[in-house]
Amino acid sequence: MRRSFPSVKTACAVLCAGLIGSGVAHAKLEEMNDSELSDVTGQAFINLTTDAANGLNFTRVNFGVDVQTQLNIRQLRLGKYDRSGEAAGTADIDINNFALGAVDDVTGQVDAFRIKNPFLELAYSGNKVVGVRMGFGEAQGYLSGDINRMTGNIAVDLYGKGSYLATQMNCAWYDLICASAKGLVGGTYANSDFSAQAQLVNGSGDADPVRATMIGMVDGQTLSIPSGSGFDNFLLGLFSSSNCSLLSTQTCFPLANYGTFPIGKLNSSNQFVSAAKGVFLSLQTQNVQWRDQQDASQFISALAGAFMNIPRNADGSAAINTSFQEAFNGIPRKDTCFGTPNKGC
Amino acid sequence: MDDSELSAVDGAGIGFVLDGIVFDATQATITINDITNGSGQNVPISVKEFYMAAAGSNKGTTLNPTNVGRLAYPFALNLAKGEALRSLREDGQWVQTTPSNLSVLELTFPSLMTSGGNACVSGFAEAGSNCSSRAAEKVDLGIRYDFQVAAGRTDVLNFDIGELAMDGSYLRLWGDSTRSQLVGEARLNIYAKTFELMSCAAGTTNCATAAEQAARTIYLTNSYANVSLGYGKTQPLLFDVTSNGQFVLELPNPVKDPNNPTANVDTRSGIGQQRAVDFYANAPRTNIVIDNLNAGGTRPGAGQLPTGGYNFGRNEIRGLSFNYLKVSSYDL
Amino acid sequence: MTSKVCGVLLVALALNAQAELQALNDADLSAQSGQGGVYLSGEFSINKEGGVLWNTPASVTQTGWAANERSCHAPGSTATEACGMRLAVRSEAAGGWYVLDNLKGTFSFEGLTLRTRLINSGFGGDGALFNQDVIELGLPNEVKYKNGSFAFAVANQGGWRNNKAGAAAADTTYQQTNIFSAKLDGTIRMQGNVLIFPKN
Repeated sequence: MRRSFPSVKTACAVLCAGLIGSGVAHAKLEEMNDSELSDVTGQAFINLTTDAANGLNFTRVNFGVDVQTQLNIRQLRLGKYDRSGEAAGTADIDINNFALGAVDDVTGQVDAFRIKNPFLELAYSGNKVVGVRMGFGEAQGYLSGDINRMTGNIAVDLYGKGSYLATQMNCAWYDLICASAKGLVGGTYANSDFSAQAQLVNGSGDADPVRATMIGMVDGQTLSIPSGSGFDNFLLGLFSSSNCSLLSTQTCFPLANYGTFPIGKLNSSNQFVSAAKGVFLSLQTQNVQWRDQQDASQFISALAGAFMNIPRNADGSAAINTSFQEAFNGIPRKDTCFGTPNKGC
Repeated sequence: MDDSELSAVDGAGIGFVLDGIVFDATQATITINDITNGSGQNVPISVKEFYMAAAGSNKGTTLNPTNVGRLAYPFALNLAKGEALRSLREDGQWVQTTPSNLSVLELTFPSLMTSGGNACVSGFAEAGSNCSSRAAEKVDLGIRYDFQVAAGRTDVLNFDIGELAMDGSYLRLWGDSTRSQLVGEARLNIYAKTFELMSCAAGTTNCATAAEQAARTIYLTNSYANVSLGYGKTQPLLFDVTSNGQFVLELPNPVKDPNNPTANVDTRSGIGQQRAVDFYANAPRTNIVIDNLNAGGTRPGAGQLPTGGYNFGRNEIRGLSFNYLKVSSYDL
Repeated sequence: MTSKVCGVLLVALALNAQAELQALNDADLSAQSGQGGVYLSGEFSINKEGGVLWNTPASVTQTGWAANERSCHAPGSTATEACGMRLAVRSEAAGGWYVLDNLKGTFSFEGLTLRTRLINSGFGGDGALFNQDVIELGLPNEVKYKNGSFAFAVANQGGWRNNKAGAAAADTTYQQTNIFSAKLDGTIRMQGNVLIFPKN
């Protein structure tokens, strides 16, 4: 005869690993002051902060990590949809052979791209997510790619000596103003450091932050001599870029010419000395004002769609600095693949 | 067993299949802690609406049992020799990625098939057609996180994944004697017909009608991700904890000699070039593709593309490969 | 009336007393078929009242804890909490430790079954090709948790140390970074079976 199993209620196996009783009985709840509070909070590398501005709420997850990387992406395409005013079949951000950092074939060493304090932020209108951005507290290194289309705010500082700038000025024989300007730039100001601000433009010199294919000086932008006198800059102020031309110098260039952009500041020996702050990549369903990480009273206006922000630093300098020579001739792409190929690996 | 007998053994393993499974944690209270806000206070995250059931659950409203894994392609825990293991390369070839002459502990999801197979994402051939999971083995999975971020404000992230399969994912671990540590290689494949993120809790203010809910939903349709971390032979995945209690995730430079990691290696010729060529040819890459991303639209039917809202179209990262990665944590 | 009933009963008992229990022979026994397998129900708790390593201190101020005291309360909480089990693993020579910390709670289930099963049909056609025995672990339909918790962290030492300067037996070099921790309460419905079998 078979024994039936005992009923569930009577058969309970209890395993107890704890033996020592607690001593909580007499704990008195006391309010902790801030220093005590910071004593007992666990250490952690993630925290969550909130913000509210311009009618939107923001929630941000901050990661306390330091990233060093050298990576290649064969195809990076964000926002490939038909957009009014733009050619069909294009994307907001379209880069082939994207790379961060560079390599040295001779030594096998990697020149890593550095990212500090990345974060992920959501923008809410009520309880509706209207935007998301991935930002980098600090970014420094080489960013390479065959840029087909770019959408966003890319701030570039152009710099160079007057002597070089003069060589790029093509004056018609009858253009006396141009000729005298060229003479000044190549003569009196030959050794002066000229500077100009550039951004995403179209072929006519209009700012084109959406699906741009060119970078350059917008209409009305002037050259300046940062270390020059008020008079120097007054003179320069008389000549501004118009229709991608300034004193007969081409001032807009295809993005495809630039194989590599340095993000952050390079010194004269091509070593990075400071990082770009405020770099982010975002997607939004409407224009969103994201708070500027460098100046809490300022906002960056990101357009609906995919948007990349590589802004000016708080001191006014751009994240990307290139010489006039590089702007005119293009910047060759840095080697980002070991061995024979220098891209596409 | 002596060596000759041992070498005849291919690798032993245990297979697991989930038969008629339903997982429903909607009656439980799960809270995730230790995420703090800027002032060091805990921000509790409540986990709700956590379920896993047969595909076609209509975002968790109808939970039916399903099988996960197939008897011929089960989840598996294997112990195998490095030279016996293979990974699927982008061009369809199966290549060896783990080093030879050592034992590898492998935990796998149902594997991809070497020939034939089923569509990994139904109606979307680009995601691959060599998945072993058929429609009956794909699941719906959902979870909702409520973040009490500030007084009077709760952010809700309500995820619902439709027709999820993770075929071909694995984690491989082995001991690396040169580095004196446990190292690994991992592959995470996620195939999802639909992936929806709603930023409110159904039934609450502004989230009651279908139209309100649709306006607050982000839709991903026809998405897949092949996340590859590590190439055992020359770039194993290293996850270390440092002596100051922080973690470091690292993918080392594949052309370097692990016995002498700081020494220069010329990659234009010799062993350096061999390592580079082998790495670029055989190391699996990461792809993340969302064929359609839409915010605020409405799906006319299950699995169909949403209409209305803001259509971000196709978004993709293809062919991501790391020559070097080091992520180090520190306290905020 | 009562005496008649008693009489009937006594006769019944006497009749029964004649039946003798006899052992079944093997042939008869093998003719019986019963259900094989195991049916389990249980409740177990881990460190419900705290564990052996640490007493629970009186206050949450870490500098005031005695040498063998530790409280595992959530950050920012003002009430102390007994600590759960700690498991630390080091996977690298002279490296840090992965820690599963504060694992505690009461966990109960009813109806976990374990049996063998021959599968040679079903499963969308796979069963016939498979034709093997498997171990079938039948999940209990409901699993109840009470005050369950655990934390996943990384630390530079396996054992926990009080790292606040000024505390008894303090070790200020100790660092632990919590990745996340979770608390679990309530009922989770888990239906179905896990089939386990050898795979070549």
